[in-house]
Amino acid sequence: MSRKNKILVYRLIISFVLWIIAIVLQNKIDNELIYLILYIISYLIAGYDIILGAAKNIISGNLLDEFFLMSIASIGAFFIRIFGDIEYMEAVAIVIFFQIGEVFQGVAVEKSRNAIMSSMNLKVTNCKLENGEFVDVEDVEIGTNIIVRPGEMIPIDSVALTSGVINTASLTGEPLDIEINVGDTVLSGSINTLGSLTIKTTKEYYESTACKILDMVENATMKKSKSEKIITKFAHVYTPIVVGFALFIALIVPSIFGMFKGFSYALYKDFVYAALTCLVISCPCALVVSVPLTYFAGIGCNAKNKIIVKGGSYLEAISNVDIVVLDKTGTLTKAEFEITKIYGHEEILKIAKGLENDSTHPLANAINKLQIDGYKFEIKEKPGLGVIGYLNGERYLCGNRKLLIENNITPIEIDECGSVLYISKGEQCLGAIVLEDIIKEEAFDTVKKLHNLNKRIIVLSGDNKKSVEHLCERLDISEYYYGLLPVDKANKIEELINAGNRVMFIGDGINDAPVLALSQVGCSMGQIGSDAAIEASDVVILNDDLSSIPLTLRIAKKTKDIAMQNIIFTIGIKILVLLLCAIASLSIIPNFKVPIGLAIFADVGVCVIAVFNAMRALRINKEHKK
Amino acid sequence: MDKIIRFKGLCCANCAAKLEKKLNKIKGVSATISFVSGKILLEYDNEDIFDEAILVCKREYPDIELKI
Repeated sequence: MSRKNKILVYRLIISFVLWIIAIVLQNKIDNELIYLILYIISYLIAGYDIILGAAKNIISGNLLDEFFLMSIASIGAFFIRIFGDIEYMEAVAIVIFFQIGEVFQGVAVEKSRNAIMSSMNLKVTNCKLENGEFVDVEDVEIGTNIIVRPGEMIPIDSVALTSGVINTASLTGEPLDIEINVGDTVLSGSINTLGSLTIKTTKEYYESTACKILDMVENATMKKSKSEKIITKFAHVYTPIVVGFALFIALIVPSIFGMFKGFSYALYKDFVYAALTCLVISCPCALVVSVPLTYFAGIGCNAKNKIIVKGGSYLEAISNVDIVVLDKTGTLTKAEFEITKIYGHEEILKIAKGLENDSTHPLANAINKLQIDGYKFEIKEKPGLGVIGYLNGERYLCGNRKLLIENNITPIEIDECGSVLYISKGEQCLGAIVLEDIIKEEAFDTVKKLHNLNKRIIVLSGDNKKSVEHLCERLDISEYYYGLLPVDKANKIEELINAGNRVMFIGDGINDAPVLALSQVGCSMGQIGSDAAIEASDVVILNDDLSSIPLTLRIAKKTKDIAMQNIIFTIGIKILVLLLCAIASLSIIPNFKVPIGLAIFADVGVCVIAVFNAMRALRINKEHKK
Repeated sequence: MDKIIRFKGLCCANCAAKLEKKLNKIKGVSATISFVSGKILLEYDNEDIFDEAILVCKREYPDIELKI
């Protein structure tokens, strides 16, 4: 709680006690002056700043400020009492409960904000230097050596100066211990799990991964959703309308009545009371705070699940998505290949291993995993084609069809899906190795969930027809396009958008920048530490887990629902009170009055309830409940 | 130029919305205020205008604490 709020709490306690004493005295003694003075003191202790604020606003011409309206409502109530029969009690109650509401609101919003930010567990405030001194992470310069004790978080992106083990769970959600050696990069947000680690910073704190993630989440509230903007606009007209309505009830309505029944003070008094009740609910605060807070909580819930949504506007866009477009390699698949079939003599594996030994191509990785000894070649790499090697004057090739044809060798015919590596010796093709990209285990479940959410699923891939077809068949996806260059993918997305669809694209974010930018929701996966991918996308899935996609769709939908509930609830209650005031003022029901207490509840009570409702968005579960 | 300013001491979200409107009325300023995260994103043409924007914040809401 801020200092200001703490002082306010003490003020309210004193004011409340005086208020109670005054109520008791009012029933016991006849001397009005004594308890009136008590009421006034109680009133001033609770509300002097409201009146000061109102005075300031009158000077600057800002009449529709909530302070001003509250002052009018409470002072008005006092005056009615002086001339009539309404309790002073209520006049003071307006101010006390309004202020209690303010405190609650402030605390609730602050608590919510902290809960959202700490749900990510990425905050580090200080770190230990080599000389044992503790410094603020913000003051650490690039190239500083830092000691991270076991169990502590790496505060700043660095390179390791000693070897050790780190866990990146708080960044990626995967609780894997990773061994690091001297010279390895360690990202901030990882936890040092084993022994003390010395690292040398390579970035400033504000440029580090953990801080950037926190910033992204916090700044997400800047990109306001459409419903937030509408609410803000509504708020701008709401207050003048309510004030206008109050004036109408207080002045016009009794004047019309007066023409028939004759003017009297008693006539105006009831109308003025109803009008004051309206003024109490004239602040649109509950609305204005609850909707952005709901979106913030939704963003926080995503962040807790390692999904960074860069703005309320994107969360809203996710809730409206009807087509989910997926990239194949690296998104649906692991981009890790497995040998599925071998054509030819086993010797070709030895040749392949020898040729691919130094290559880092994903296909080569699968071959290099084989526990056999390869031949020793003199190697020449042909990027995009394969490898050429020489041994004892004989030429060996290992690569795609094109490589063999370019070298005038007829490849054997193979009718298999997957990627094929052809191997030749001299002028003859010896055989081929068929490799297939491994589908991520959770892909099956994810596709099923997306089907259940009634989303159209499309796969766009640069790969060949056979492998895309095969993959989509296995995953039960009926719509797919293959052999696409990045430009083709962008065209396809544009086509879908122009047809009126709302598209979410999920890719690995490396070659997909134009597609990510084009889609209503561009989402990149598993690219932590890659600034380019994070920059280009609206949603960053930090882990490599496909099940984050249906999860974020669900969170977005729920968040939108909660925001909608808040809008309907807050506006509904206020309209209800306004209607009651109107009914009361028209004397449709005899002796019917709207107690000011109800109006106070409609103002601050509703706000606090809306804030609590907003916080539900932070606790949306992983499991789909039916 | 743009800058993110953290703030404290605004009484409610509606005040923030009003301040945002006021700031955007200054020529050469584009402001977005997030009451929930306590930040003002200020885009401004030059330093003089920036100072003016800060002045407006303090004049409208004397209780506001800005961390520039």
